[in-house]
This record gives sequence, structure tokens and C-alpha cells, in this order.
Amino acid sequence: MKILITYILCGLFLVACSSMELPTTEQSDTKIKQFTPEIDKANDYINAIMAKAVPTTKDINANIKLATLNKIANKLAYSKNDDIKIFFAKTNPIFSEHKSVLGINYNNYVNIDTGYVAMNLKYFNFDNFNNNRLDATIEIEGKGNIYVNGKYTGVPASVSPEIYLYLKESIQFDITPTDTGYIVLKPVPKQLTLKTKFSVKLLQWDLPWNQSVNLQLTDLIKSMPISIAFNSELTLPKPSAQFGGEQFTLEPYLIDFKNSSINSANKSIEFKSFFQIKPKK
Amino acid sequence: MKSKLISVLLFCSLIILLFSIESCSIVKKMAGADIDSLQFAKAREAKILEIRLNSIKKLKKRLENNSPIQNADMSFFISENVINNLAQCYIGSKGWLDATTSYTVDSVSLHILNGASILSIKMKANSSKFNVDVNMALDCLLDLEMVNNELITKIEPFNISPIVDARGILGASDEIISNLIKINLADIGNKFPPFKIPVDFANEFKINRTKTNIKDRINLSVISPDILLKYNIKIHEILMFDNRIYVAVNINNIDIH
Repeated sequence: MKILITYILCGLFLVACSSMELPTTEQSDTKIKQFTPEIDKANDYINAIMAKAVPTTKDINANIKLATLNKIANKLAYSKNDDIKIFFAKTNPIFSEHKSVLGINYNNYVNIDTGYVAMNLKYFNFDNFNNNRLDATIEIEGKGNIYVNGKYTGVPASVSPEIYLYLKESIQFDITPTDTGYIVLKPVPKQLTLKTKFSVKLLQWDLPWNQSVNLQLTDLIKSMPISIAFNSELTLPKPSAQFGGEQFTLEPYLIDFKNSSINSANKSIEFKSFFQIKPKK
Repeated sequence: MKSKLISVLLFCSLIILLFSIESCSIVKKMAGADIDSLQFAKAREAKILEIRLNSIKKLKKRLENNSPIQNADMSFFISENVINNLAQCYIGSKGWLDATTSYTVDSVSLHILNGASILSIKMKANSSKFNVDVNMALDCLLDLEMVNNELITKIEPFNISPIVDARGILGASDEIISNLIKINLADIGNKFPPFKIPVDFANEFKINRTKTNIKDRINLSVISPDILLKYNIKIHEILMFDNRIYVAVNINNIDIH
């Protein structure tokens, strides 16, 4: 009896041992027949919409809005008040006049010794794309002091008047891609006019000064590389070849962007490139 | 009479037991590896299609809403070729499941579909402790979803094809081990939490210092200092379309140094 009960219990145990609950083949087939046409229908809808989107002709198609560049430009403008520093160098003379009184000849003159103005980039905005060029507006202004010396009626003197500088210009940048994941904004050469204004009172000599200094845009702003969010280096987590310690190690790789191109239209830039990855040695 | 009946019962049981052990059905049952291969494969196929249908419905719904897809600071279409380039970096990688079980990745490739992707992997595993080699080929359905500012990656294996070569003490257990692998991999979604990928990245670039000397009516030097621009890139959206992935990112926390 005990043996019989033991056998029955073993049999029940074996029957109870099951691996995993699975639907029957017929139940699975029913689901497959139901889901497949629904997936096909949704695919057709999505593919029809995406066919109208810009085709992906290269490995990476990046689209950057003009408003995004202005997020950065506006931050540059509002961040601090000494974006550009101007140091005045010796200028002999900035003004001179020849006088003759009772047969005595003399020169009145004013020289600049030194001076300093901290210029604030007050406004910087990218306005429009124009045939792969970017139109922008900059406004810079600042106040400081200059140290002048001179002679008036033969009497030497020196003063340090306040000087005011101002510049507002429309400028342009050429947009070029690089093979390191950047687009470069290169200023198109242009002569800018920096307006200077100060007033010198040297002894009894009142000398207002309102002149323009010519600058080249390329002297004021150099080429600006802007990252398109991809670094040219990448680290990938890979399983550790040695057991114990870290489960993953980080291995560096280099990204090569090949045959990069730029197209600008509709308030955005499109950057396209082919992509290759290789281990960094 | 009673003892004769018991003897007959014992004899029949012994015969049944011998047959069962030979066909491994008892061992299979006890190991939890008693599955029908066709039934299992069909069940996986149905499950994968169900997940694919849910993903593609979500994508369809997204395209139907009024927000255009290129509605972020920067957007990218990345081709399948790029992802496969990255996947190729893992070929030949060797890792360890435990102190005596190593694996090597033989091949990896990704095929991107509307709403989901299929990752195909071939690998070899070796257990030196139990003297078992497994050549494994499997496909995995990858689903990406942004949930509460986290990118969740779900993986569902299917088409699981382990080829087991067991030697020594487990020499007759190839089918059992193979079925156990299939069962465990099929249940991986329940056993492990979904992968979470960070969506926020710090980035920076530098504008170099310039100095220019000007000789004009007034002589002066114009100096602009080095500027380090720091900002965060945050993934706003990831969508999968046939043969390409769409990624939308926003730039924030811009800081000038």
C-alpha cells in the first residue's frame, strides 16, 4: 500500500512538473493572422507620410533651426559687459593746428598716450539664410577713458577724458561643413565703422572729437565652429575580456564624417554627411 | 495474489521508467524544459507581432497629431548604416557570464522598421565547468520609448536557435539545455528591468581668443577673449522609421565662460 501511494505521488509530481505555459499552435496562428495585416496597413500609412519627408541621401541628415543659433548668439550678447576690450595705443597726434601770433609760430596738438574701453556685445542676432550665407546684425558699445597729452599755446598739459565707442552693422557669414562634426561660420570680409566720441579740454582748448575708425570684420570676429551635437570621438561600452572587476570597459573610437555638405533654406540649415567609425589608436 | 499484483505493477513501472529516462521526458519535465519547438516558435512569433503592432500604432498616432516631427532645436535622421557601423564594433568582443562561462560575439546587425528594430546576434558560449559549448543565433525586437524623461529600451528575443554541444556528464542533455536556453531567453523581459538610457548630455565648444592691432586715425588693439560655450543637449524624441532613426534634441542651459 505504501509503495502504491509512493508511485501515485511520483506520478502526480511528474505531471505537475511543467516548463512554461504556452498558447496552443492554433491560438498563436490566429493572433499571427490577425496582427500581420494590421501591421501592413499601418506600415503603408507611415511610409506614405515619410515619402514626402526629405529623403535621407547620406548617413546623417541634421537640421538646425535659425532660432537655435540665435539661442546661442543671444546668450553671447547678454552674458557679460566686457565682450571686447579695446586698448588705445600711442597716436601722435590725433589733432594738430599750426598757429602764428605776432610772427611767433607754434603748434597746438593732442596725442593719445593710452586708454581702455570695455565693449559690450549688446546685440547679436542671426537674421536670415541667404544662399548658404547667414545674415546677422551686431551692435557693440562701450565707455572708457583715454589719456591724452598735448600743448596749447606752447604750454604742455594732459587730461583723461571719457570716450564713447559704438558700432552697429549688418554682417554675413559663409557656412561650411567640416569632417569633424562641426559647421563653421566664417565672417565674410567687410569694412566696419567704429564711431568714436570724446571731448578734450586741454587748458583753454575745447576740442570735441567725433570720428570713425575703420575696422575689418575679420579682425573683430574670427571663424566660429558650431558643433552639430556629434563629437568626433565616441566611447562604447564593451564586455570586459577578463573575468572579475568591471563588467564593461569603455573603448574609444573616432568618427569620420565624409563628404559633408550644407544647404540652407526655410530658416534652417541642413547638414548631410557620410559616417565611418574606427578604433582610436 | 497481492504480492503478485505488486510485482507486476513494479515490473510495468520499471519498463515505463526505463523508456522515460531514455527519451529524457522525465528529466525534461523535472528540468522545466519540456516544450514543443513548433508551439514555442509560434508563440514567440505571435508575441513579437503583438509588440510590433503596439509600437507601430504608437508611431502612427504620433504622426497623426498636429505637432510636426521636425519641431525641435536640432533634428537628425540617422541611417541604418550608421547603427550597423556601431554594431560592427562589437564583433569579436569577448565577455564572461560567470567565472567559467565565456562568450564571444560572432556577428551583430540591426534592421530598423517602422516603430521598432530587429537586432540579430550570433554568438558562441563555452562553459568550461560543465564542458558545454553553445552556438547561438537569435533575433531581438528592440522598442524605444520616452517615458518621464527617460529613454526606455525593451528587448524581446525570438527566433532563438541554440546549438548545444554538451560533453562529459551532461553529454545526453543537448536538447534539455537548448530548451532551457530558449525558455530563459524568452522570459528575459520579465527577469530583467528594461534598459534606461540617459537623455541629457553636456556638451561644449570653444571660440578662440583674437587680437588685432589697428593703425588708423587712432591706433588701437582689439582683443576678444577665449569663450567656452557650455550647453546641454536633451533628447526630445526618438522615432524609428524604415531604415532610419529620427532623433530630435533641444539645447538648454547655455552658459558662457
